[in-house]
Amino acid sequence: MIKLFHVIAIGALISSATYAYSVKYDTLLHGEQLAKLKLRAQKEREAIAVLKAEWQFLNRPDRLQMLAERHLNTQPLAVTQLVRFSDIPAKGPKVDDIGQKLEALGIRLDGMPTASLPPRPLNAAATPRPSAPKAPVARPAASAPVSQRSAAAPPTRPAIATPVTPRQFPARTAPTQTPPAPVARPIPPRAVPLAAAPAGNAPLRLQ
Amino acid sequence: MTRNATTQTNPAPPVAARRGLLRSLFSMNKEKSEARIGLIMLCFGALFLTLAGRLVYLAVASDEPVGLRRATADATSAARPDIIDRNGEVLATDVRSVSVFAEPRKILDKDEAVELLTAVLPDINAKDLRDRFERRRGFVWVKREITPRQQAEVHRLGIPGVGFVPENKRVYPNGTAAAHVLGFANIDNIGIAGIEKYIDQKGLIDPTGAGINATSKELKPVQVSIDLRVQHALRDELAIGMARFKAKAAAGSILDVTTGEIIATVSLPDFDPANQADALDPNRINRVNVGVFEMGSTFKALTVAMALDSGRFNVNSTFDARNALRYGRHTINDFHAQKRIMSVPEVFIYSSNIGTAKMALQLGVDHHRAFLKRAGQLDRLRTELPESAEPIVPQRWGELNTMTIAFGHGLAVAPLQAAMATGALMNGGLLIPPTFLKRSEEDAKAIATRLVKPETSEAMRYVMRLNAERGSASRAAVSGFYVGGKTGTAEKVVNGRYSKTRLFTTFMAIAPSDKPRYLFMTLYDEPQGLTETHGYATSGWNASPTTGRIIERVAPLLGLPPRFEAPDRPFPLMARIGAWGTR
Repeated sequence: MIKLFHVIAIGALISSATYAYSVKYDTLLHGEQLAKLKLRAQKEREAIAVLKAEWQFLNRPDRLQMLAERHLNTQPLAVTQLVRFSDIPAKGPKVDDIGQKLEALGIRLDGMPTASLPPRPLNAAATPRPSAPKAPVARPAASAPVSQRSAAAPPTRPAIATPVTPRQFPARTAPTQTPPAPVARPIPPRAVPLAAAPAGNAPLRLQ
Repeated sequence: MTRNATTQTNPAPPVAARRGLLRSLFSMNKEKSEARIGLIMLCFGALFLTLAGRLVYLAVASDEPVGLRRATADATSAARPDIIDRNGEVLATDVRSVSVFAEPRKILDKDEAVELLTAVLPDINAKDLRDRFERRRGFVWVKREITPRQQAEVHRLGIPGVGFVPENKRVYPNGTAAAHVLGFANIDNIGIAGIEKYIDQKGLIDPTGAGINATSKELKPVQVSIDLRVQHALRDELAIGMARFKAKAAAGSILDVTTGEIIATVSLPDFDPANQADALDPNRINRVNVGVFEMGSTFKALTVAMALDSGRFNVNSTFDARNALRYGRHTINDFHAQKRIMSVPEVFIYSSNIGTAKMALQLGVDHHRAFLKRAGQLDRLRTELPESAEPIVPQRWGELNTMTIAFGHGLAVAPLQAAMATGALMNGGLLIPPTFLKRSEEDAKAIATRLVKPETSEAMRYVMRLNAERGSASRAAVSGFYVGGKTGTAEKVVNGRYSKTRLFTTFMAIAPSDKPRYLFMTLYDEPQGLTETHGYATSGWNASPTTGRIIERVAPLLGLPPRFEAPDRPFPLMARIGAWGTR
């Protein structure tokens, strides 16, 4: 009986020692890993701090102003170019004024392309243009005096706003073979001269 | 061993007694071994006590950096919190840089070390470095904040006893923008001026530094009330104006009158916080809160408000300005003399010295001084910035002083102080101490004190607007923002006399006048007359148009919506009373 007790006691002693030993070494290992990770996190934080400082250094207002004056053909925002959202007149019902004009000229429109002139060229011309959302200032409404002042495109808005938006008009205008828009709508005055518009507008020209 | 111990404890016993003791130690006799057992117990007891003591010592003191670590921790710079503007843009931040140090005791050949180090770091003085190495210290700096390339080169030298310590370096990425507000921190990252010093005073830094301690805590950024974009626009316009009017100095501030926050403040010439020597130049002080000036006619707003608020006058009261006002051998004249009887709004928009002097005189010296005291014009204005200036108040305040102070001469205050009081006249009558930290409207209301009645505030807004429509502030009246304003031109004191040619021009504008939000203040020190200003150098020709340009440029950034139709009934009370100019 005593012998068995001794054996159990010795076994328990050895196993507890082994357990304590392994726990100790696990703790050491984890502690080391933790320290390593903390060091890495700290390094990352430092790198982020440096990048943030550098970003702010490159984005500091006087540098941006200098770059804008040198490279952009824009002018400072004038008070008259500001319009509150609520002052923008509601969009009227959609009227196909080109269609009406064509109708007035006596050209028949039944929604089908005329057989002799396929819609290809116009579609082909329209596709290279990125289908970005329609430029916001393309259309000054004559009714509201406020938005007339706003017709000059503020320089903050994208300069690619051209009055020609062929995407709006489906293939049915193809028979005339001319860019339709300039006939229909006034070209809004620009704050940005045409030369400043990016060359990306070039493929718009119809052959 | 025990024997040795014993012999040591009993250095010189008599020989016979020593023999007896020795025998008792080695005797096998049970009765006589007590001394032996006692000695052994004592030895083990002492041993265990030593061990326990050492354990306690290690447990208590194990976190202390020892030796070199302690030396570097004391010497390296503290970690500072970032400073961000009201929109979260970084104004000041810490970046990690590396410094070289040396332990002179460990350097084998000091002359060679000096030679090698000066070859790699040429801007170090070799003799100075040699002297530093001769000192009996365990730790000396070789050079602070070196580039990574220099670090690699020093590392390649492989000099024993020379090492690197990472440190925090303060950087101000926006250069001169908001330099006066930020101040700067020195090479040990201790705030020397501006908000940086305020951060130190509030104990917001981590003094152990992020240098060695990898687990340094993230410090919460300090958000100031400055808007970086507005700050830059204000500085740009003031710099243009200063060059155009050939002024010696220019300054400007934009104050949110509903919260007391300073949205932007510029004083030119200014400095780059990276180049700290410039900041000590007395010409580059912050004129907005460190300089004191006689504010000229912009002070008339306070006089008129005092008169209206006293209850003894109303908007329709009249003042006789037909003749110059004589007091002893002094004569007070009007710059834009009308030579007639004027109502209160007329006194304001024609900037009548006679009219305002009479207002103050009729209320009396004590009333005038008490009002200015309540308006905070007679005491030093303290903000978060450690720099401030005491107003120059006349020691003996007589009737003549009251008369001149009524139109802004004879009392020199910090421009920010004047802006605070003018803001209180506009915002409904609440005097809110200005702050450089972000603050909410509720917090501002909690610390505000009432300076004038809301009705007085409406009357003041009305006369400010009237002055922009018909008076001297018309060049600042940008359409769409319902601007109101007041010009002020003070003659500078040269050799104890007011000079006619050296002027200090001020302009205070408020937008929008019916529901004021922002106060714009512009100052020029000694602007010159130009041919396009017909030779005039008064405020209406320089500070006023500059303020107009500032408002036009900054209002969209501040989110002020333009209105192209006049507001409906902006001043209902004035219309009901039938104040001059409403009909």
